Amino acid sequence: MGFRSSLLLVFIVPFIIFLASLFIPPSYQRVTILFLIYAGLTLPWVVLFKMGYVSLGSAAFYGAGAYIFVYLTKLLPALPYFLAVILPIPIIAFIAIIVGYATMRLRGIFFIFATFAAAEALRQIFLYSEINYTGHVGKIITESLTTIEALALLSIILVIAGLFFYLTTVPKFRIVINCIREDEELARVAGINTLRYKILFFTIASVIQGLVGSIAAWYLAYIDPDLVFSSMISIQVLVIGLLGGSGNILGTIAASALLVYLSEQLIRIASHLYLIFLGVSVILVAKFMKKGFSGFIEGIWKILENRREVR
Amino acid sequence: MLKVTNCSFTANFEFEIEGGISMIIGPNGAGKTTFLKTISGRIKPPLCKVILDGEDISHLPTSEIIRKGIVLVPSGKANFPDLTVEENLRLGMYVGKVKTKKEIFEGIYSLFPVLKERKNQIAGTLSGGEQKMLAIARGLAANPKILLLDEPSFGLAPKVIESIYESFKKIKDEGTSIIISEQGISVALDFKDIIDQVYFIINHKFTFKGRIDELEKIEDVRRVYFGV
Repeated sequence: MGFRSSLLLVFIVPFIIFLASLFIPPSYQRVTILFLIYAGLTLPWVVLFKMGYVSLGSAAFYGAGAYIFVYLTKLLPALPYFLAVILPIPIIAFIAIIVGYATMRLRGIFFIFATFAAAEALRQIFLYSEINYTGHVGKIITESLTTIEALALLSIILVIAGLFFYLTTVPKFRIVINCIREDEELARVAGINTLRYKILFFTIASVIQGLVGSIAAWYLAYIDPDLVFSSMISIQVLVIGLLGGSGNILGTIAASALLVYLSEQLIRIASHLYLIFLGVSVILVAKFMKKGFSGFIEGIWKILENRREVR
Repeated sequence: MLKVTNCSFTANFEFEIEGGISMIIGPNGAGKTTFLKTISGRIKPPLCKVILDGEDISHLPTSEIIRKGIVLVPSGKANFPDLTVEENLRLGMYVGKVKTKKEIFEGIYSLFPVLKERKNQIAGTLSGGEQKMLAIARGLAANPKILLLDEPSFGLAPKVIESIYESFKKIKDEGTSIIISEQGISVALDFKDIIDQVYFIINHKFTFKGRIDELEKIEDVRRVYFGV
């Protein structure tokens, strides 16, 4: 079984992260939750990136997931919370199909702007609805998740995101994704309904990001539009995605862990110091690891494999 | 078999094909590529009707038209350079349903043995002629009734052109009709016996249909190609 297409990795890595996080101090557990949130947001982003689409709208579906979850718990107090996590899925899928249908025809910089605009538009819609219909901005959830529960749920989401990533390495979908990125016109002439595939992948990616948002809201116990639709989330996802590379899930997970832990450490010294680190690390990765962390990890794996064969 | 009516190309002209190998000849900018794209559904001129076996397919998207059996091979190196030869062919089979994959592979590899030797090679590293063969093979992998080839001889050495045109004869014998577009008339004259009928297009209008020998007598052809 090749490293790249390893299905086992998808299950083992989140499981190890979950197990390891049980034995670390609570403050680090909270950082781990943040890291799992970003890993869960970035893996779907990487799939879109593999198709040649750079999205700046990750916050849109993260925020939508969070808000729909909270509204459901407020409107239907009898509803079990875990159902309130699952029920938003069709709603987010519906939003994603509409946004995808409108934006997936675009390319390059236009797509970036369109997704950014979608996130901003959703932020304004929720801000407006908060001000005019509920009377106050921001929502509090009374029964939030414990740290361990949040770790477990986010690990499960990471498995789902990993499975989605794995799906794109299956030969059929890998070829389709490659064609959409390389030469969409030719792909259409070859009989692939490219728009359908693009919307399909965009919708699945959005739903996973929405799930991450729902669970994040459940754990954080407080949300407001500026918090969950923050453009900083979209940008952070983009940077983690670029650092991680698109080769395998380990790259993204490693990049997300590194960035989140370092930013948490550096924030103690000065609140925006980590942005400097962010810039420097992007330059270094672009210069020395052309394929991101995932390419680096794959390189090490290959060296190890060769050594084993020699023995 | 295939009929195109009601569009500017076919004003005062009947474009109808009953199988075999047809060639569309016309100078630069005459509308050859546009016409082939119209048939394959990539461009949809209003009112234009494309009729395949009595069924109007002009409103269908390209992906459906390919399922009906019309496949376009665009001009140039129409492959995915990052994928291997076999993956490119698999991509062509994406819609093919009638034959099994093994049969299709066998048919293609017997037609172009060079592709079998290089099936695991990255398509971008093939030579120009091999890439053209791969593009044609990719079209064939969809198991089409009609194969549309946009300038298959463009930028290739005479010997390669010859081997590609030789393969057309075999494709025709298997029951697939071919429509080729070519800019130069010399290719048509070189492979007279392979081509069943010739169409001449100029200024987005067909003006001639018939045998190659008659082509030289047409005034437009003489003016454009021979300067007399």
